Amino acid sequence: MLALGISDSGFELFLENFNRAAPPHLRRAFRIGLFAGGWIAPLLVRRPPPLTRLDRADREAALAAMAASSVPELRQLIAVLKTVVSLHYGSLPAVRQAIGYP
Amino acid sequence: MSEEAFDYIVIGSGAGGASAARVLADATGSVAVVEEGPAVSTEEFSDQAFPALARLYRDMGAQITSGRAPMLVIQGRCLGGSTVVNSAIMRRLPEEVWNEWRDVHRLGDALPFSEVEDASAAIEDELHAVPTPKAIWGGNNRILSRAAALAGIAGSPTRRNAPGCRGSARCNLGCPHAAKQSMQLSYLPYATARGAQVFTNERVVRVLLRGGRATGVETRRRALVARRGVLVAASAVETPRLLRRSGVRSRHLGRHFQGHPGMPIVGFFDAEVRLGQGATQGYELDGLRSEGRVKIETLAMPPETFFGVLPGVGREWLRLMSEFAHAAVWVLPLRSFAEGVVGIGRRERSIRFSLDPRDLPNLRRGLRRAADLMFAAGAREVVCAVHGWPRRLGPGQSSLIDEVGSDAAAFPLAISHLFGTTRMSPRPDAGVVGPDFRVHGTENLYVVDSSVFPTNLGVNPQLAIMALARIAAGRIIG
Repeated sequence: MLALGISDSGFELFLENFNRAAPPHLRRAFRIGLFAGGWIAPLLVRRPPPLTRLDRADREAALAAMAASSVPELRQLIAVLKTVVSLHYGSLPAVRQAIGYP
Repeated sequence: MSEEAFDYIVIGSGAGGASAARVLADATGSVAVVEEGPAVSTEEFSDQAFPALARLYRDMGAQITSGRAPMLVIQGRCLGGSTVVNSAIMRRLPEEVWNEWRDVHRLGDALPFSEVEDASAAIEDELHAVPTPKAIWGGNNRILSRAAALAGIAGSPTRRNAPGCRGSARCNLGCPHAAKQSMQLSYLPYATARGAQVFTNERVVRVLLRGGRATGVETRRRALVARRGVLVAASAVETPRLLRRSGVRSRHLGRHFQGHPGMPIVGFFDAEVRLGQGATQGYELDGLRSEGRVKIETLAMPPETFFGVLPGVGREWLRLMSEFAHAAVWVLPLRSFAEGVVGIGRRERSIRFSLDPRDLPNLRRGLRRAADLMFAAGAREVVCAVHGWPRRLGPGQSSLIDEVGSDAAAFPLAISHLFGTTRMSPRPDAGVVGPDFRVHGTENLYVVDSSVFPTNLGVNPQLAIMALARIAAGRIIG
């Protein structure tokens, strides 16, 4: 099993590059996604926002609820967040080695 | 602003532009190819998705359609265009599609099928298109081949123009071994060896039209004079926009936008599949195309893309990521009935596209069939990120796909083959260009990319685009 979380993996540096290279609409969608994940997702599981104040189980439950929401826009924002995170996480040598990518 | 003169100016360096430039260069070395994106050498291709997306794709592969069910629109944007980032698939224009063009779109015999076939054969020969050799199939392609054989569905190794392919599964990031005969390694060097000149990082602002005659093009940095003609091959998204900026008026400009929306399905197997090894797209099933308008094909992808298509968050997501080595990924490009609109003029950033009601049943049927095939080949689990569907399917559960309601917004679709926005018709009131590829109402302004296709194809289009561009250029030089 891979390690949970992307803190200490250089994500901040990746974000700087992302903000330089990504088209404006994608950067905007990512920012809105962060806002929705932080402040709306907790409400979907009846927890007070922001997401960062919740414990791990509640954070996952909140984001899972956002991903399964009946509101397409919330699902699309989760997809944007996952896409951007994947671009970083999937490029990490340790992750690639752990999953057996050449 | 510098000014240079050429007999012909070709806008765009992808399958259409480069193929036309090759023919023109044989007749006259005085050809300019103007490309909006950068020239990226093989040595610069990265094995990581982010730099590849940023360097080689338009909007990082994240152009998006508007509407309730947004879809990604994926295009290359570099010297060689989408041929740099496609999977080297070489499929001829299907005869049933050509029949539709002839009869429904009234092209008649203006574009004889035998001529298209001859051009296709010549290109296959020049670019060394052959069925993917078994030695480089890898696990993903082998599984689809085995599943097709077990189910009795017609399947075949994909014809690709990648001699010397080592099966590194990196086609979509740019071939690291220069095996794929994308345009910057094949037709463009051929043209430049005969005198053609290539300009990169040059976005054409407009074609200069005087009294219906194209006299040159203008970029932000230079003006180029065209003595004999201008050929536009900027893609089905950018070509109508450029024509509009250049003063072309037609109610069909930007309309009839078609494509092949598609989505992945992932199967997990007990044995290792090793998605990172083998030809990116080395096997395909054509058996469902005539009935269900859908094709099933393999698609290897780097971890970044693989992670992004998996459902779930948190630990569930990580669990699926961890199984990368055991995953097979197939995609289902759909020959959609839908027509959208590429925004032109003040709406240049917009692309409107929504699935036709007839599309969803075909897509669902295709996904069900793909899941059945994966289980037949031994998958223990199949996942598909469709909202409202079971997160994971086990053997014997693929019928659940039929039982759950869905709407278009539930499907995470991407469109990668684009057509129709300057469609061809002998009648100016029914299309933008004539069967001679000339924009109606102009003397020497031509379109030689897939935007002239009256419909989508149901198969990967690069060979058909090359063939039509080759025919067009041959007719232009006479």
